[in-house]
Amino acid sequence: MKTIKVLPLAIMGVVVGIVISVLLVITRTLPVQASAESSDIDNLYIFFLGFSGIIFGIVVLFLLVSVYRFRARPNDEREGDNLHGITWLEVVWTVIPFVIVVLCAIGGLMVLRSGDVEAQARTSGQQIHVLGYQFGWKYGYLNQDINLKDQQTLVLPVNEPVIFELESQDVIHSFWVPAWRMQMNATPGQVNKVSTTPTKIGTYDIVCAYLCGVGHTGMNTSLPGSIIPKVRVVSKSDFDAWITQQKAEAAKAAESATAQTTTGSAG
Amino acid sequence: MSAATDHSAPQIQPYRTGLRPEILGLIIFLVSEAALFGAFFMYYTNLRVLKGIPWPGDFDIPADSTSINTLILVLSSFTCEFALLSLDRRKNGAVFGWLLLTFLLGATFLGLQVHEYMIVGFTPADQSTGAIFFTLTGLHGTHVFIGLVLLLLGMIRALAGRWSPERHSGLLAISIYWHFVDIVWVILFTVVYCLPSS
Amino acid sequence: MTAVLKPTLARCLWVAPAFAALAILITIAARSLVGMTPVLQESTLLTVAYIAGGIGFIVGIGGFDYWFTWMRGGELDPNDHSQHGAHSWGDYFKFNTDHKVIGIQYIVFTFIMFLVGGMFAEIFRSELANPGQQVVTNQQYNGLISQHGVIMIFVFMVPVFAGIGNYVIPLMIGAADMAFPRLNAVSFWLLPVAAFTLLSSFMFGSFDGGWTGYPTLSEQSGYGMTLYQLGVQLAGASSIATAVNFLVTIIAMRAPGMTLFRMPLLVWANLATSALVVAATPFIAGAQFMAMFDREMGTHFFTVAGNGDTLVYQHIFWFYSHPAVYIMILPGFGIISEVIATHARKPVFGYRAVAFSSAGIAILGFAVWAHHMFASGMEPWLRVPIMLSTLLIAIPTGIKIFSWLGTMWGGVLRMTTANLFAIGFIFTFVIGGLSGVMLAVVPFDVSITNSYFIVAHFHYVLFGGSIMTIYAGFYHWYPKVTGRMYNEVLGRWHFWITFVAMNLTFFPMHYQGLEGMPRRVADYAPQFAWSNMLISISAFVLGASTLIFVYNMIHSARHGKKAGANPWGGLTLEWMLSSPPPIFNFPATPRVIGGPYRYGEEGAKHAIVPEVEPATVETTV
Repeated sequence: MKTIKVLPLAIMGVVVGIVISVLLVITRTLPVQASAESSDIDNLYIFFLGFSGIIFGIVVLFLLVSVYRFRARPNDEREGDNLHGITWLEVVWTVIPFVIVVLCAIGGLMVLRSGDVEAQARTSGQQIHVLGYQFGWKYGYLNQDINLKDQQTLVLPVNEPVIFELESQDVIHSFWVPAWRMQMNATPGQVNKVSTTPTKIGTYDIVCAYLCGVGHTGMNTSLPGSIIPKVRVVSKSDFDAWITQQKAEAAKAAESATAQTTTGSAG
Repeated sequence: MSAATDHSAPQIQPYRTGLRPEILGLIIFLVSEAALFGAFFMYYTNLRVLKGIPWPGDFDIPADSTSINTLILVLSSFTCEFALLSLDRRKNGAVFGWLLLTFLLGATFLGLQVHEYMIVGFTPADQSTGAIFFTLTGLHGTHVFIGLVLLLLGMIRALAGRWSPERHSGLLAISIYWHFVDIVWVILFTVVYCLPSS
Repeated sequence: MTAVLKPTLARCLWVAPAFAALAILITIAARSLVGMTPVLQESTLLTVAYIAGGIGFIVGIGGFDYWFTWMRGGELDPNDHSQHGAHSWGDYFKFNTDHKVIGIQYIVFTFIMFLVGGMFAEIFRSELANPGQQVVTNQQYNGLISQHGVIMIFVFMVPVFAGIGNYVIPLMIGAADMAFPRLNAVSFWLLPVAAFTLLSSFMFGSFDGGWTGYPTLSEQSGYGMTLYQLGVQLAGASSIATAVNFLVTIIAMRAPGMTLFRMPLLVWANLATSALVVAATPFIAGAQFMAMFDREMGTHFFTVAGNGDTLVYQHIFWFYSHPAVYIMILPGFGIISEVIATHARKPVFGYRAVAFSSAGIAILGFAVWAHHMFASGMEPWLRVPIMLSTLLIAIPTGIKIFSWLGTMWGGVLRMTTANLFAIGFIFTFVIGGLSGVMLAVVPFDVSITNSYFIVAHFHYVLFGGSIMTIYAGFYHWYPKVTGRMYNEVLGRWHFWITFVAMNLTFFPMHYQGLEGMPRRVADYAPQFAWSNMLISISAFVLGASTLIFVYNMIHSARHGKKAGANPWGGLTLEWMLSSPPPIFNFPATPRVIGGPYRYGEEGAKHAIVPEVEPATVETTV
């Protein structure tokens, strides 16, 4: 019987794998890249798809060829080779995954490093306080001294690093903006920090990713008719105008509040 | 099956651990118990050592009086071992006596522990530190209680004359369990009572 | 009349309620004595009733009869085998100490629970089939997904492997029974109690915080959450008891000549798994104790108000629940090694590497828990070491997969249903493994965690991994257990429908998650409408395929072809016995003379079973 050479099959597996990888890369469904980090993370994902497809291709090809080639015929009483192992081969398939895993770790660490814009946001960006509650988000601009009302839209300037300081009033929520490839839990009793740099003007969905009770489903701006506002990224000048307007409104509100208390105490 | 089909390699003796299965099982079970304490120690370490959260109302837990309690429990480990030694000499009365002494020491420990609960000044419902103090010591106290029940059963079987140097797995198991409870206490005492929180 | 006094289910019917009532009375008395108000605190009374009722059930079924005699100081007969073995089908509903009976009890009971958990999934998949909300309310939806997870994990996947192990392992190592037969029976009978506790939570407002039950949401839930915390502990106690039993059995009860490296790989896998269970399960017990005290006793372990720390729950929870993933897959790896070697007629390629990789996974399994928490707000420095350890665990897993490929290569593959499931398992598990490697990398993980990508990943690991291995194991040992062959044609249909429907159900979820669909939601954006419809339809087909399996198993048990002792030509010890095996397994202590997979070696034998008159069977006290 003709024996099948393993090495050419492995090379064919790589080819099949590359085809699978390309298919996976073409059919990938990622949201728009709206932050500085998103392209890095997407590239990481494409790298993952690359080696995953190849490994999958090799495994499946060997699986199928084994099934086709080494299939028992009816009433086939033969036994397989009495082969208990080939040490060098076992070393190879221990070392190759190790290399891939090291590459993954390096890739991950590189993206993790470039994603670290926290310090930048502290000095020259926006510091946003996010309070999760059942069921919605409430924002405050820590460096502008503005606190937004419930269900008021978060507005951010484009190309400026932002650090979000997340807190929760009741249960765990998770602040997820898929377009920014950014997610962080809002955990009761602690402040969780996460930062990003929005790079595209537009409105983006905010999704609560952690089960937070009966209203969890609705805590998703992508649902039709959601009352929770999306995040709006605007140009620097629009943002400055918006901030001035907010400050004026806040001053007015404070004025009427003090007026009310004085009349209240007088009455 | 004829010897002709025997491809056998050298004859190998049945595998022996040197331990009876029941004692081996007990030791594995105690690993599991240690892990249960580990879960609570994990919580304790995070709260008191890493975060340095004080006891509720800045009460101090009474390390001095508890030291005496620790001594009592350590002593009871020895008396428990003496029961096994007496068994080797087939003195069933002495076995009963040592077990009784161990039981009494354990009961004293438990009594003093309950007394401490009354004077400590906070309750399990006072803050997280109160909760973990009572849960850790309470879990240990429960183990002491179970140990006391086992000692009692050991005494009953001693009176019934069921222990002999040939059949004493149960007594050995009770003593190992009792030593475990003792060791856990020594660790707990060191960590909770003696180590200052950062 | 005597039936209600003898250890039977009938006795449970009055002992369990009696225990519960007694506990309620004692609690009321204690509460009024101490002066706690209100005296009739409903949740406290229910909790003590459940705990006492559970103990009462075990007492009723006869779990403690032997130990009661010991406690009284009574005389015990170590050779008393009155409760050993099934002589009629009624014995399967009794407290039985025979590992084979217990194994069947485990498998049948957990499989029924699998169907129940699957039903929950079908209900919420029908909700998800269309956008908008039609079938269930949000509250019910959250309850259903939580129940689905908990039932599948704690009363199906973890114990079903204990069931398969129970049946097969004593046979494989040449033992007469498990080391502690009575403890073994008690750990099985704890399971119905756990399942009852979990399922009855529907009556009191089911737990709706997901299977993880994180505080502080768990503090808001109805009384069902306490039952979840209780039920998980009961299931945990059961699996610890089983694991202790397995460890002692494997360490101390192997037949002469069965050295460590002559053990079949399923035994190795169960050794590693049991070590994990023993060391990890108490952590979930600890976490649930604390969460339960918070709910029922007013402590402040995880509440912000009392300086508590909600995040620690997650650390302690995952310190068990990540190893739990390996608890749910390692025995499956063992099954696959047995199935592939037997049906490919070839020795396992790299036996030692496969054995050591089980141990490696078990050890590394303790160092990766925090990869579930990259977006939880835990200490940032912990991210990188956990990422590295998680990536490392891919290596032993990869070794196993390549070793199975190497085993098949050059074999003579008999394409039985068992082997089909084993091959299908490799296909699907590789997908789950690869997405697992991706999720280990922190920046990628935090960009899609808690999304449907995660749901896809763990269903590929747990359905594509564990459940495929469970089916492979069921088909492989079915002739041994029943003495009859299953219907191979129906088996093939079952495999192909399951395999295709499984991939159609879970593969699209990857895309949904990447596109921004969060998990545990009852409604979604319109763009996910068609993919969800596809998933739901496939899920129904997947559910229906299970019925073929159930029919095949039940029908073939009576009408299947006689199997004979060794239909697959396996070399391990269980195939050297009749099917089903005699009540006391081996007529005399077998002697192991070689490795377990000496296929292709002329006239090779793994062991010799002497056919002398029955030796006295030793069981332990």
